[in-house]
Amino acid sequence: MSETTASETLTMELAGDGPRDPGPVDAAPSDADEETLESDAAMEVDVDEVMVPPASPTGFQAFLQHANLHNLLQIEGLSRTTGVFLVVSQGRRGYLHLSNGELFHAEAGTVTGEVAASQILSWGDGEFKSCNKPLATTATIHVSLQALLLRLAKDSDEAAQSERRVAQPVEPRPIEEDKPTEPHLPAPNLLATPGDPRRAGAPPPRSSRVPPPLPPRIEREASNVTEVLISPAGEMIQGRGTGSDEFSARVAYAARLAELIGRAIRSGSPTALELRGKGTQTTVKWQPDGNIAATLESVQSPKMR
Amino acid sequence: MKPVDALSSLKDIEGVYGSFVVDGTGSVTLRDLPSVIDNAALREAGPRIARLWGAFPDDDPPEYVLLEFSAHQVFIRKCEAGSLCVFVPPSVNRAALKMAATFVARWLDAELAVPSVSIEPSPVSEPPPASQPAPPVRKTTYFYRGQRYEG
Repeated sequence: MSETTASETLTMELAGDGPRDPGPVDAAPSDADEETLESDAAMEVDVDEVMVPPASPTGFQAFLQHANLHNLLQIEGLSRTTGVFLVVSQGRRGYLHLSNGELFHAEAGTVTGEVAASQILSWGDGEFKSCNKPLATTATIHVSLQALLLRLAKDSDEAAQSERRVAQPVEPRPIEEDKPTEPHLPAPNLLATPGDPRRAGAPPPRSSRVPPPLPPRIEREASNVTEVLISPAGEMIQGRGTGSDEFSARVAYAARLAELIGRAIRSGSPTALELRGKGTQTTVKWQPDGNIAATLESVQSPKMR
Repeated sequence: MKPVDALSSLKDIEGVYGSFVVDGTGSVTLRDLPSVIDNAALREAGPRIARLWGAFPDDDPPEYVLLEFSAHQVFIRKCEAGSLCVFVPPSVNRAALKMAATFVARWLDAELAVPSVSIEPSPVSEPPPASQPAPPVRKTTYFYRGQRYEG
């Protein structure tokens, strides 16, 4: 018998397998949905909001015992779904608004935006279903779904780590360890007479100690710069400096690889790329018009004065 | 310390989401990442990451690549074991990250290194007559983890 904890159970209901728009709010429920709607009522869900499939259903309804909300949302993200999803968990409810697979708005109780999304995505069990709620007209979430999920995963890791630290018994340190490592200055005289700069509230007297010397200035050699502007098709629009032809080819190759890496890890298009070698630094920037600007600088080892 | 613990040490730098290592061909050899980034994504990205080093000039050994996206960055450091890739937010302390990545890369290189035997090209010479005794076998000197070996 497999063990299934509450945190591993999520119900997923989808009314279509392609990009969807929320259906009409006043659509009448069909007989096939009676059972679903009853269970929704038990979870204090507005029956009107639960998505009503069309007369000829085009999608599957799934009951997944080991799914988590992050995975379900990633599936919707990959499918580039547009629609509103209702998430119900232990009497709590929230809405996730997706447009072309990107989460752009979330509501949970009175909170909205990233805070609401973080709350909803931290719920461990419950139901995740399409609903008829109209899409929000304004975006309150401005980071990608991937970035949001990464941040949540990190927060969850850190919370678990701090819990483990708290759980570990702390060994009492011997009193000797609390001794100061160097002699302390005498405590300020708080009972000094008025007018005395040493009285309470007055700034402490300036130390006669000389501040430590500043670190030596780092001087760089004059750099030799090559700049290119490349079209999205990889053609050099402008070039300046030595070896700009070869440099533009290398930049076009690196930029293409960076785009493919971004697509693979579902991070979207890159905005900038920095390639640092022992003697050169290449900076690549994607411009709003699709062109790519790149700079090659020779970087000498820092010289101490 | 296990290799994955070395990767976890990168999380000492505030904001680091996680990291992974791909070898010279782009295969994922180590990972310490949230499940949000699945192995299929890494398998797809790995070979492209390995090929990124080809974009450097021939006469300039690469140190690192920083890939910036709208919400996060991927810091990629070249090492003998391949490429160490770290997911970080834009606000990360880059100097500390570089230093931490350098230490982890060195550790991985030391732990995952395959002992390299230097093979000297055999001198081109006429084969000795069958009657002559075979020449003594030359010993090859190689270094592994700082120790000198002969064999």
